[in-house]
Order: sequence, then structure tokens, then C-alpha cells
Amino acid sequence: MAHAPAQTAEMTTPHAPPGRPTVQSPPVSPGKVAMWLFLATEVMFFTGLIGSYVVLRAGSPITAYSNLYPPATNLDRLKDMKGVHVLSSGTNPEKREEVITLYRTAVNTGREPNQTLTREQCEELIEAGHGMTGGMPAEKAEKLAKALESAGATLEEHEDHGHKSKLIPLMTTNWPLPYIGEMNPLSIDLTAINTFFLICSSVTMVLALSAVQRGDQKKLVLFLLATVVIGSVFVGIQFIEYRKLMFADAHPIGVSRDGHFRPDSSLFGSCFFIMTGFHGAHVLGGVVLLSCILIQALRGKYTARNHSSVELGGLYWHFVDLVWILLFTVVYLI
Amino acid sequence: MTAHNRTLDQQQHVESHAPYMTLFFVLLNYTAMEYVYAKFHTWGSLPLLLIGTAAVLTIATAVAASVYKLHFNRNWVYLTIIPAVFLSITPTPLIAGLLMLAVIKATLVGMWFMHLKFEGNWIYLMLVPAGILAAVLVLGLYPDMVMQTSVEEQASQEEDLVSLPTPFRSLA
Repeated sequence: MAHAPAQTAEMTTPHAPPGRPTVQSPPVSPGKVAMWLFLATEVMFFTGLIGSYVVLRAGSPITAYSNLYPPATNLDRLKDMKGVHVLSSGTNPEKREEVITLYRTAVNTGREPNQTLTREQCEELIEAGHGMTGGMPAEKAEKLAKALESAGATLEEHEDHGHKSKLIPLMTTNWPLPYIGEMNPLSIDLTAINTFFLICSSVTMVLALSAVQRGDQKKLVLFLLATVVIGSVFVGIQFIEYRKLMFADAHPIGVSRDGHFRPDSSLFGSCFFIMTGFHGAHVLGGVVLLSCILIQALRGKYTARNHSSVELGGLYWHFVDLVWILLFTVVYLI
Repeated sequence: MTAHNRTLDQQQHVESHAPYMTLFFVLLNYTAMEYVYAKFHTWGSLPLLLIGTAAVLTIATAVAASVYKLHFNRNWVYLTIIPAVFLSITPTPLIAGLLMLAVIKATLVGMWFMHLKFEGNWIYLMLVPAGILAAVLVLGLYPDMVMQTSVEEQASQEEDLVSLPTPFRSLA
């Protein structure tokens, strides 16, 4: 019995009301353990996704993607084929129309009726610097190059052993490398801006937690609102990116057979949409979760002593940011 | 005082006063470095560009820290300048360099924003086994998927050997 007062004093927390000893809380709340267990399963999930991407990429044959044919075309008998790259269709409107017609005819030759490109798509491809025609025998490519040049088009020159030619040879790679527009349609500039937004949202989230830990309700609401808004901007930009890739923009033949970049365009396409799509779904879920927390914060539910929802929501949000940091590098930059 | 013997209130106090804004600038610096490194890695003046980017953003961080009274010391400078100099002066392959930057960034987010720096080691008891299991799954697939080509090549070589007349097999 003599030890009882000493034990009580030891267990009293600094914030206990005077004369009313309380039992010290356990070092970790059950909610936090549960969240970290959930995050451990998420670690397994995203490691599986990223790891599968690495394995599929490393196992992809060197001829899987080319500048003249759609992905996964068997190139065994097409090694001597040539293409013509139209850099500009000229300034004369009449001649320009002729160039686009010639280019369109060349691009659509051999395509299925539902895969042919429209005049507008062809014009867009040339303006974007992706006016590659696709593969054809050298004699045919030579004739086309002459016709295009006489109509006022500017063609890319290829230098081979000191000999300059307007015919572009077949070039292959095992995976679409960044900044190679003939095979990789992703916009790194747009995604770098999106990465910036997600990092900003992670900072506002941790500042919201810091505010509620110090009992600052006003800043809690402000920073939570900022997190929800910036997170929504991220989702919005990703939606725009998907729309451009899948429906709006025309893509060269090395990206896709039908001019659109969709999950069925190539192995790269399915990997890209699965990885970024699952991450985007996590961000969307996070925005909904944080919106619910924001509503509770507006009702004054959280205090310096009771804010576990803010902390757990924050943990989830930072994890989503962490995954994006890795995805941005692995999928876009490498 | 370590993370193990802090009370919840002490831990909360430490967490709420961590240098988050300074870290924000460091993360932006890393994002800019990644972008510059990936886009201009074939340029001859990459070292100048990379170190210049890191230096300009570090100075901007220091100025912001002094104006807004943020926590800032030389360790934050080392954190950004050292990788920039390393990538500039060593022939690091692009993939390795970019992965290095991404891993440092992800570690900073985990340590500071997710408070791993302030938590006990119990979290690693959950994360490390999960990570190992996931890695084993991926590594298990690697031989089947990636080394398939070399196996096929070997098989085709053996086929060639078999197709040759018996006296010439040893010459093949």
C-alpha cells in the first residue's frame, strides 16, 4: 500500500486535472495500428504493381516498339522498310492541303476502316512534330518523299554514314522511352506540375495536423480545405491527361494502331493505365475521406486532445503522395 | 529523449513543431532536379544546369526560411547540394540517378510527413515483412519473364546443333 501514491504520481499525465489521477494512454492508439496495417497491405499492393511493371518492361523484346509500326508488330520481315517524317506542311494553303492529303493516304494505307485517321488528326500529328508515315518499301517511300517535297512539305533528314537521306529507317526499342514522341505519348511537363500539386497537398495536410495538435481550429479548417482543393486539382489534371491520351489527341503509329492511346494499345498502355488509374482512385478516395474530415472539422469536432481522424487521414494522404513520387519516376521519367 | 520514452503529449509537441515548410522547399527542389536531370541528361552542360538548379532553389529556401522564420540549417543545404554534385560529377546511369532522387524524396515524406521519425520501431514490424513478401513475389517472377529470351536463344542454338549432320555437330 505504501507504493500506491508513488505509482499514481508516475501515471499522471501533464494534462490531468489537479487531484484527479488518470491512467497514461498506451503509446500507440488502436486506430493508428489499424491504419499502418492497412498501409502495409497497400505497400504490398503497390510493390506488386511497380514490380510487375519492372519485370514486364525488362522482359519486353527489343523489337516490341518501333517508329514505323504499331506496338507488338512482328518486324522480322520489315527490317528494310522506310518511313517519311513530315516536319511541316508548308505555308501555302493549297499546297498544304495537298501535303496533308498525301500524308493521310500514306498513313491510312493498310489500316482497318475503323482505324483510319481523319484529316484533322493528320494535321494535328504534323503540327505536333509526329508526322511519321509508317513503314513502306524504300522505292515507295522515295516517291512519296519527292511528292511531298514538291508540294512544299519539309521532311526530316536522316544521316547514315555521312550520307543524308529523306528516308527514315526502322528503329526499335523494348519500351517507349520518355521524350521519344514517336513511341511515348506521355506529357512529362503536365505530370511534373501535377507532382508539384500533390506535394503541396501533402504539406497542407501535415500543416492541418500540426494546427489541430496546437489547438488552432481556424488553421485546421483552412489547411484541410486547401488539401481537398489541391487534391481535386490533381484528380482533375489526371482526368484531362486521360482524356487527351484516350480521345482528344492523335498519336503516331509507333504509339498505337488507331491513333488513340488506350489500355488496349500496347503493354505499355495497359501498365500505364492500371498503375496511374489505381493511384488516381486512391487520390479520389482520399479527397472524399478528407472532405468528410473537413465537414467534421467545420462542426468543431476535433481538439488538441482528440483528432485521431485527422492524423489517420493524413497518414493515408501522405502514403498516396509517397507512391506517386515513385510512380512519377518509374512510369514517366525512366 | 528517444521516440520510445516520450509521452503522447511530448510526441504531439515535437510533431506539431517539425520543420514542414522547409521540407516542402526541399521536396520542390528534388522535383525540379528530377525534371532537369531527366530532360537534359544528354546535354553537355548538365552539371552546370543541375547544380545551378539545386543552388538557386536552396538559396530561395534559405531566403524563405529567414523571411518566414522557418527552421533551416546547413543539413538541409547538404541534402540538396550533395545529390546534385554527385549526379553531375559521376557517370551515374540515368535510371539509377532518378531512382536515387525518388527514393530520397519518398524517404523524406515517410520520415517527416508520416512521422516515422517520431514513431517507435513497431511500425517496421508491419512494413518490413510486407515489403519483403511483395519483393519476393516480384523477384520470383523475374526469371520466368526477363530471362525467358536467353533461354529461348539457348534452345534455338541447341536446335541448330541438332539439325546439323552428326559429324559437324562438334564444329557448330
